[in-house]
Amino acid sequence: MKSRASVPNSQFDLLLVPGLGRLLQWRHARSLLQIPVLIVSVAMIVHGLFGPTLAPKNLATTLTWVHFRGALVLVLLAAGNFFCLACPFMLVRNAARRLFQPRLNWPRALRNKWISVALFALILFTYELFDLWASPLWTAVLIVAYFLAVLVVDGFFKHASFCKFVCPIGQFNFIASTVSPLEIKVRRQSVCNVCATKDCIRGRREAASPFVVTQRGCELALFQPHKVGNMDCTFCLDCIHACPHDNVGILSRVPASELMTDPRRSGIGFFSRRKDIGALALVFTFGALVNAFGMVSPVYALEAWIGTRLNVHSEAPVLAVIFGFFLLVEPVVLLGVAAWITRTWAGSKRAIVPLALRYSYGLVPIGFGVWLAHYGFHFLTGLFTFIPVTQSALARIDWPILGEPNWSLTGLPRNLAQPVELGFLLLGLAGSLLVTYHLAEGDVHERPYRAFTPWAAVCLILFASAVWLMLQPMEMRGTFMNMGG
Amino acid sequence: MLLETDGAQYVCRGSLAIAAILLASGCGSRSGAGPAIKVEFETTPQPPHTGPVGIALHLTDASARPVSGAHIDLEGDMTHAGMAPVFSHAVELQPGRYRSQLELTMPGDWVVLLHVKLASGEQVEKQFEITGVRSQ
Ligand code: SF4
Ligand code: SF4
Repeated sequence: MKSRASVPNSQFDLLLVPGLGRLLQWRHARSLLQIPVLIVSVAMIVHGLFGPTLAPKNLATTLTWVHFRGALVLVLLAAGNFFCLACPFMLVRNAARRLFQPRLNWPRALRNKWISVALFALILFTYELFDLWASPLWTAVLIVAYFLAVLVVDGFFKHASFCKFVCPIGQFNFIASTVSPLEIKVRRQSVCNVCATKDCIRGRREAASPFVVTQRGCELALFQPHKVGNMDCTFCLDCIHACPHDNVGILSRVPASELMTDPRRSGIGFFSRRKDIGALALVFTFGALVNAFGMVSPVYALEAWIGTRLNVHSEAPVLAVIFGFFLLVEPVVLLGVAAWITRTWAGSKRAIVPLALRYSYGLVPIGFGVWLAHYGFHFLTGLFTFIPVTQSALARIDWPILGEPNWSLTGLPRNLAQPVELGFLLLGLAGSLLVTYHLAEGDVHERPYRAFTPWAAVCLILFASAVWLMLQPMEMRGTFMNMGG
Repeated sequence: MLLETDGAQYVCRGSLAIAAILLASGCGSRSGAGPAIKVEFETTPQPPHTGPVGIALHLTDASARPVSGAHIDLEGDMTHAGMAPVFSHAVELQPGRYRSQLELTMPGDWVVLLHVKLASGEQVEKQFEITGVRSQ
């Protein structure tokens, strides 16, 4: 029986909540959460491949693009990265690893986020290009491709290579969870200081045969005593199960506080030196705007205009121009100008690129606010749509246990969801202003307001763009090219 | 060797069973050759915008004769999931010529499903798109 290290009084520990805490500490807790998600995923794949071709009638599209995305961001906001905890891909991977043990280490040159950042941008791009939201078939194919990619990557490479270096959803969750209120961390550093085994990272092995692992340590290379924040943490609970002193909890903290400081982080290093993670923060932030831009009316006018100027008749080059502008040109210009002002006007000693990199983390909250507003909108307005879709799927297999589909079940009216959207955007803005001010204080002690001003302007520009997008008429269309502009 | 995924085998079996059921149902539901009915449609206003959209339907059989006495239910769906469908019913104005109205609630692309029950009792499903609906 493990003896529990006490928790600092000021902190809430989810593991101490009666019932829930015990459940999460059960060694099969993760499987328990993954099993229903896997079953639903299989149902989505089958329905996507063989069910109705209309997106609103199919479980693949409805659950993926309305419910999964919305619930994901809301849980990240309210708690933490619990979706990685319940990830069905890892359940399948673990089952496969009972048959095949990987032997290779992930190549040193690829131990960064560049591949996953590129995949993240690529998914945003293909989402628009192939109208994934409108295609049950391609949504199902995407889910299948995801399962295969996990099996291939983690079939060859040890530890959680896929989660840490490849998975775009994981990176989304990692960067978003930097603003989450819960974090898996040690309860008492003093206990770790005298810990002889370090099982949280090494894992536990059978006493008689040390090659037999009975409990994994952290596969993401996050050593608990030096772990800072949620970056790269899949909430897999392994460290919690492994620690012999019961010294790891799911503790509360000030959301986004980890973005304000720059300590050396276990398994990550310094944020201020990780250009790849800075790029992830920027794709996350500016990608939120591009993704929302894809569903409002003005995008079609812009696409038609670019198509005419380029004299092209396919959507790919037009979208490439839009993505290039929003994910490369806009961030480079905005951050470059803000960094230059911080240097010249506020007197920061850092060079332009390190300055831009450092402050890029300050934009994560506003980026998260935009994702919340967008996905939260679909989630709230389509909240109950999974019911008639499930009813109809069951009715089609002559098993109408849920009754006839009630298509009038939708969700919150759009006019009620809009204030919620605005609330999320304001929350994101407030978070970004706080973080960037904190960074400015640390950067230029004497004149923090001067250092803060250009970054506050960047935050306000992003906020204003998001509000403008929110006020545009939503227009869900397929490719503009066959619409005659 | 790791001991953490005892449930994995059972999960996979259970999931595959569900898959098989859904697969069977899905495959069956896509086929279905009904009577050869041709549907021509026209929407007003042009270009379409949100709000009430008039839909004129012209049903003919394989020999181009008007199909009279059909019961037609219309269902309008957006191409994005999570949106409520809209429903209406068509009335026959002349032999083979029907008229209906759908309240399109959002700009974008709409797919209209026609659930047609012929006078003979046979059922036919048809669909067409109303693309590029603009806000009013
Ligand atoms: S196993 Fe890890 S978390 Fe637990 S006491 Fe030792 S160092 Fe700390
Ligand atoms: S083992 Fe690592 S990834 Fe899993 S919860 Fe602990 S720190 Fe996070």
